[in-house]
Amino acid sequence: MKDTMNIVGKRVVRSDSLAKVTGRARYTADLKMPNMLVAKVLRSPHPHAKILGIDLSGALKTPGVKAAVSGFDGFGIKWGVFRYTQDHAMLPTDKVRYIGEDVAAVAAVDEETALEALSRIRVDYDPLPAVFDPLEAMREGAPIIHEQYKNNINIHVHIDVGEMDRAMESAFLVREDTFKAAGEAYAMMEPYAVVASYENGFLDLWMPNAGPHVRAKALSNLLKIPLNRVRVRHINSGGAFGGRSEVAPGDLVASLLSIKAERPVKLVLSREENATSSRQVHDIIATIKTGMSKDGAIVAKDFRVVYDGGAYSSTGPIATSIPFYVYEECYRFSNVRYNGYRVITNKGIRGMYGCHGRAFLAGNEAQMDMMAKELGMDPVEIRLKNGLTSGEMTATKSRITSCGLKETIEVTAAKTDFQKRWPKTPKLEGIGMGCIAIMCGFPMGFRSGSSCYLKINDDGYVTLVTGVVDNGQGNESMVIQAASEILGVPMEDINLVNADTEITNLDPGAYSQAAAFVSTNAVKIACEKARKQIVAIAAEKLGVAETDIALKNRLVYSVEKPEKKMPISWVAREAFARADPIAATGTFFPNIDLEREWLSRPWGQMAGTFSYATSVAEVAIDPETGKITIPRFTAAHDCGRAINPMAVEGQIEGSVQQAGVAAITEGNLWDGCHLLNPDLLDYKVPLACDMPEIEAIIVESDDPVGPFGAKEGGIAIRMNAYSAVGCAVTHATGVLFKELPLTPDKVFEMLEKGTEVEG
Amino acid sequence: MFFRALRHFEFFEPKTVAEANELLLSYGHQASVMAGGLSLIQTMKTGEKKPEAVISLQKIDSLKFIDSDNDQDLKIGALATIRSIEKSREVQKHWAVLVQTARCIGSVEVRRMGTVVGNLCDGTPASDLATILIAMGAKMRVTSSGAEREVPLENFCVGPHQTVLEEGEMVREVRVPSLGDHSFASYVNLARTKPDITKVSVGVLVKNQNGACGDVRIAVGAVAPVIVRVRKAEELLRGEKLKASTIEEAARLAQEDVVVRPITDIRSNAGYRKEMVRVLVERALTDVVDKMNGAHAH
Amino acid sequence: MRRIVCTFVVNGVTRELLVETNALLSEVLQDDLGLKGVHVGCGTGDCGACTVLVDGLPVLSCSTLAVTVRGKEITTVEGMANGTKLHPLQESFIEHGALQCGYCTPGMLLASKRLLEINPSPSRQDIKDALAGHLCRCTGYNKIVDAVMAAAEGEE
Ligand SMILES: Cc1cc2nc3c(=O)[nH]c(=O)nc-3n(C[C@H](O)[C@H](O)[C@H](O)COP(=O)(O)OP(=O)(O)OC[C@H]3O[C@@H](n4cnc5c(N)ncnc54)[C@H](O)[C@@H]3O)c2cc1C
Ligand code: FES
Ligand code: FES
Repeated sequence: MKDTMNIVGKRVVRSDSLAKVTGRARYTADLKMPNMLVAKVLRSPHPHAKILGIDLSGALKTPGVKAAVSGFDGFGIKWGVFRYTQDHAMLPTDKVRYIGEDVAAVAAVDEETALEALSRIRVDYDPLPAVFDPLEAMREGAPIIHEQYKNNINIHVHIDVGEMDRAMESAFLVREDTFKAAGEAYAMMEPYAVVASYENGFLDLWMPNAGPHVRAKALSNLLKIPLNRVRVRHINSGGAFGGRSEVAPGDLVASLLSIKAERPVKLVLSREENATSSRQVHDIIATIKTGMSKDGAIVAKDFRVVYDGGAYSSTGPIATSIPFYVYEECYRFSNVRYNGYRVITNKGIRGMYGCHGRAFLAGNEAQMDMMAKELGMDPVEIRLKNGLTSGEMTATKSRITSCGLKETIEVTAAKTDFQKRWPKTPKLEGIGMGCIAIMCGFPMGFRSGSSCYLKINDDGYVTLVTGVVDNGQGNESMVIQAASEILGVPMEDINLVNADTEITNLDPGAYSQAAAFVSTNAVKIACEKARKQIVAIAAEKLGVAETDIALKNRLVYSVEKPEKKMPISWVAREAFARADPIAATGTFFPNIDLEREWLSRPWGQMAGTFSYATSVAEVAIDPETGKITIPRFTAAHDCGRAINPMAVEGQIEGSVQQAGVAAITEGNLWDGCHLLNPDLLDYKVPLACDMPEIEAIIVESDDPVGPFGAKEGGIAIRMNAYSAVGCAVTHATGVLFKELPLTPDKVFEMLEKGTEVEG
Repeated sequence: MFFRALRHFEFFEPKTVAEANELLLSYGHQASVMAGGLSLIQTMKTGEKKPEAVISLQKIDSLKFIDSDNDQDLKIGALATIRSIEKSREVQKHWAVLVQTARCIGSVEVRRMGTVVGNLCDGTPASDLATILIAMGAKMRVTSSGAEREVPLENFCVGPHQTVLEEGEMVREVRVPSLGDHSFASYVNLARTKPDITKVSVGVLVKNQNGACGDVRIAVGAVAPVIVRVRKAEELLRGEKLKASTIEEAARLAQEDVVVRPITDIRSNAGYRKEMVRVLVERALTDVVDKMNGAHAH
Repeated sequence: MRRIVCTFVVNGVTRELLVETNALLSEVLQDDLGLKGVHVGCGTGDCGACTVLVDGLPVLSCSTLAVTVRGKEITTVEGMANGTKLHPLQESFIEHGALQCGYCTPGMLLASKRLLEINPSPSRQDIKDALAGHLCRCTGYNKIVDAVMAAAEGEE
């Protein structure tokens, strides 16, 4: 099939690029509506305090103020993605749990008035003892932040497979290390913004988001409005990276204000608010104990991982599990115990992240290198030895159906001359390799599937309706490209109507890496059905066999006798006349074990398929300052098949930045409850001049179920680029790295330790 | 509906320094001077500054200069941007170290909008320019209605974002002594990335006296509330030849100097910063030696 | 003074507006003139997303009082194309996939435009230096640098 494709697999221009280079693309902050009001949020100055009362009367008396709300204006409902995580009221009435938490809000005719009104809101607090360190929070006697979470343990994921203790005891080589990593900031370039407009019982919302359907569901619950009256609409999103997957307090705030004022309301967060009060990334402490046999096979793994979850559950069960699963989807081990604890602290809420789990994943990889060295193996050998292959099962019983791990290891090793350089790199230069797998879609109950509707209009142009979401990855362009391939019309003939909850059907959203494997599959199925209709009519009209028909350039034609042809528009019109217009629905639901549950039943098929990747980082360290430079980065990704290679490369390169270079620059810094770097000056998103030379390599394993063989593009590199850096620094210094990010001061310490070891 | 990040204020655009001085006097502490505005607008956004009057210097054409023709000193007017220093042929030729320092600052846009004097008046101990200019012995020309005084840059800041300027005063220009044929300067800094805010910085000026050190000045930035000079190290070097062992010893003295009392903050930790003072002083002095040798070879 | 009648030449069109002295250039362009290509990412000078050209030079509109640029020519990304004909940089960004979410794109394009005016054949390093004040969270910058290189080569 590969060779016969016209558009899939080509470096096509993204469908959204013209609007984005001309400034015509619309983001939430650009929206303007008649009578629109400006909203401002009053935030908690306390990390932990009882709310004794909130008095909005001063604000309401301010001229120009049209509405003021607090949690007392809601229904007292707490949202949670799971039944057992319903702890987030969005606007609290009992107590505040972190500095920056939304407490009350106003809507006014302009910003200055809104700010003035905020200053007139009186909130009575009774400060409570607070706790900021997850290990302290777990101790007996620590202040309890939510009554239902004993010892502040929000989530405990316990996985026990095989006979871990026995296997560890009989292992030839055993090693235990602890790794830490600071939580990151999503630092999407567009700060969160929302517009809510309530009219005649219908609530319309626009905000950058990765999953309009889950968001609408949450708001429908919180506001007691049926789903078909809460409409989350399509808008461009200036990045998400996992930080926009869930309903945000601002969604509720703007909705309540709009309902009260009966006018549209716009709320735009500042960069600082975006950092403190939207989502943040988990800080992680991972203790990893590994047993290996003499030949380098992993025989036992014992993990204890503590995730600092901040004040609320968020997607807690998922976040506490994912690092383990992406690891087990990559390597073979049959005896394993995983204890993952997500702990509540009085800090901002932590969510899933595209690069989630770096302490755990980079720690595993670097520790493996140290153990391999003792056994006389190099990083390439040990990875090839333990890497999973197609047809195998993971420890928790997911079947791998396509796997290019070996190819990604081999191609990156060859390109970097890895095995030759490894034993004899110059002093303070290092090379490191990181591997990973990732599930393409994971269990989200009935939301795990996607469906698409399409119609061909009487002029032959196509309308494609799907829930697929684009936060910049190029998902919109991807589904248009797929439809274009199957229907034989140019991409520009296709109008995509997407991510609008009142029109589109359920879709996992730009979450769980499902857009290529799940959403595009649904689009493909719908297009194939429509194509069948076209082919049937055309075959009849042209007097040729259906098997002889092809579609290309807006034409239906006979392959054998190409002069026999007709425009697709004619077929469309004929179909209307036959009272059977060309229209189709396609639905795809991945092969997932729906009995699987993150806590109660952590086994069974996790996802329809898994993608694979290997990253190789090369580093050099300044011996006097500890400063690291990364001159070169090589990354190979088994994405199944690249629908648009340019887009996949872009994802790989972005991942090298956001996970790889970030491993030496990025981390949120805290002084107890205060986030010290909620800006882009002291939170170091890598700059152009920090970037290594990147070689992005695409490996195609042609997944049997994926659309055109595709799985997922780019996230896998996000989950291993830091490992490559951690391993390279470990290689360069001879000392196992222990903490990310590897800022010069930390590396300097490692160097001093290294000389101690030597001398 | 309007989004306005800043509160209301009275806005003035005087055309002469005298006019500006008068406005400054009448508004006293309620007034803020605006040069490029880059720092001022940030502090107004955060509410650190809530001026009733903003007095822009941007229309005072007489402050837009970089002057080095008439006498030996380089005079940088209050409206000269960092970028203009970087681009000035005179500065490139005779004060190359300033060009090199300017390039460490922020981005092209920041250097185009920010002024040198504004950077110095902002009074951060992490200022790249202030560190080198203190080593070079620069002086601030301060004007007020009817009076003018000169303050060595070294004494200009009394704390982070605190200067000796009094009500009604502003800076007209900064003067940088000529390096001549015998003085050599070097600036080195440590930041996470090239255009980043400095964690530790060192500026050095050495006067070559028959192959030995004449006058020496070593300024260290971002290790105390204000930029400091490490005088013990300077004393050690005076009259000495810049041998590797001497440089090493001076660097060690600099690190141990009591004025070097860095704090642990978000950009780095105290212990590491102290270590880096040694490394950077050594690098700056070594660079000076290279420059001396280079000049000799010509 | 708290309000000033200002004239700006925005993307070639003269606009007269009553501007509050506390209004930032980014606010006037976005709110008053409805220019969607002006993006505010940080408001503190750190990201470069809000960059516009003032008399041809890249300036951070989030850190500029609108009244201080009255009488000047202001170009936003909307003014880069000549009618329907895209600027070569815009063409090149599209062709090389130099954008993902698109939030940084206007600033990247305008800063690159100025770079190519003063340095028509930049090295990759020159481009990286010129874009040092422009954050992109999505692309890893590689394709942006490719696009600017290609646009420079195309123009020679
Ligand atoms: C993103 C970013 C990165 C930066 N990176 C660096 C860096 O790496 N290194 C570095 O050193 N700096 C850095 N800076 C700081 C920058 O250099 C200064 O903001 C800038 O130079 C200030 O100049 P200005 O003309 O804009 O000053 P303004 O903002 O106009 O003024 C600054 C302060 O000085 C006062 N002032 C200005 N002129 C006078 C005068 N003539 N008399 C009396 N008082 C006056 C003002 O009232 C105000 O308090 C950075 C800034 C930004 C935004
Ligand atoms: S918004 Fe102006 S620099 Fe970020
Ligand atoms: S494309 Fe998203 S920030 Fe650059």
